[in-house]
Amino acid sequence: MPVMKIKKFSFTYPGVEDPSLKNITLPIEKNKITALIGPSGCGKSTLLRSMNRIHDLYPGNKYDGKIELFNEESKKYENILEIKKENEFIELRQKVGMIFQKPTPFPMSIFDNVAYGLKIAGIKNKSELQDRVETALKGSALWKEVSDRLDKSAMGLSGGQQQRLCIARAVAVKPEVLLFDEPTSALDPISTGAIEELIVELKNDVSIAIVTHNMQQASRISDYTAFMYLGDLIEYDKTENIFLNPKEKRTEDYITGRFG
Amino acid sequence: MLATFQTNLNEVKEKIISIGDGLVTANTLILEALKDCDTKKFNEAKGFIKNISSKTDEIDNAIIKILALYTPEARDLRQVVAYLKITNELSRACANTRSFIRGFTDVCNDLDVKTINEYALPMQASTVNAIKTTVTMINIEDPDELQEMYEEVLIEDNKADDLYEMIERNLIDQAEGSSSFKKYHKMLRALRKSEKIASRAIAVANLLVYIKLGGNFHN
Repeated sequence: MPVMKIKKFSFTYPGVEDPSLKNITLPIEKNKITALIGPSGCGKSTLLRSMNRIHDLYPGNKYDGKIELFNEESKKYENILEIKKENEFIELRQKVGMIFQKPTPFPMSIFDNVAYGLKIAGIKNKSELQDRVETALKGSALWKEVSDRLDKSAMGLSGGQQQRLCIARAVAVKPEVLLFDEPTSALDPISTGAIEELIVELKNDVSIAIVTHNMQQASRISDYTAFMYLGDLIEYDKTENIFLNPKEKRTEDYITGRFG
Repeated sequence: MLATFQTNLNEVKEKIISIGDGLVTANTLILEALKDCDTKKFNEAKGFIKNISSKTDEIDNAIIKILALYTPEARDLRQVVAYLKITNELSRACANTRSFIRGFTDVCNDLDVKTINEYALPMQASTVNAIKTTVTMINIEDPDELQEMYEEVLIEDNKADDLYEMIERNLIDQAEGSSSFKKYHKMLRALRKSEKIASRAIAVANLLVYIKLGGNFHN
């Protein structure tokens, strides 16, 4: 059962006539990794950012269709495009976390980075904060490397460590979905390998959507792959089908490097 | 490489070992059956190399999936490609085993098996040793140990070749002028299959060494 259903979704940036996303219908399956691939400018990141309404940090966007997130409490799907209140946006972005291409640690201690979201969520108890921070850092395979320096600045970490810290920060608030926007394109191969292992581990607890330019990464770690081109969803299927027997010629041309 | 790649590769390895074990058991039974042309034992042997086509298809498809999804490189790539070729060699060895059983049982009651077995038994014993050692090599990681076992397989393959030459000479002598010439010819063709199985074993051993040490393919 999908955790998120994207239904006939179109998106237009402010001041632009033509939609950047056209009539996209796509599920995000529960506890699976869905990769979004396609050439530059096809709308992958635009779609990803729509999934937690991060575009709404600036005004004037136009949405059509629905993006439905399953509510574990009511056991119903709720259209996140109907959200208007600030506190509802905060709640949405706790449920649907995001990790960006460039690691974005806050200029504060390692502990405070991870605890930030927890404090926003109203958790004040020191003991609980410590437990949740430790759990999140262990969950992102960073605990062993930083447990003796939690009070030190996060800016002193390496690129790979900073990215894992960002993952810990997102994981600490127990999201349902994690969105990764090219999470390893700024990292070296060893750090990339570590992040990939971590993402595969994380899907036991969360559902994941990942945008990547690296097709080998998509084929290695994802369960489902969506190929996009010029704002359209061209093909969506299990990853092994996309990379072994794609149905669409454009998909085959892209994954074999004939274009893009 | 990702843990999932290793898991998938280990599954392929286990399937290959399973086919290898079946081949060893079948040929060990054949060795026992040869003494008295025991049809029951020969049929039992066939049971261990049943449905090989579907098993090898499964392995081939799994390997293609691994190549598509994980794009392995260096040692990982050598291992995956070598497994593809090893599967083919084992499949052919199973086919040789079936042909051997068919050919031998067709004529063994019509010919003097005791004389034939003078060299056929040790040849089959060498074949069994060759395949056994090769299948064991699949799980060996240490390059020196691997090289040592490769030499053992090579010795058994050479023994099988030499013993086949002796059989060939003897059977031709026996067949000359005999009214049973066709049957001797059939027997020789059957025994040739046993010698071929040993050749397959050395080919597999070669591939296992290639995985570890690299270089180029060579037959």
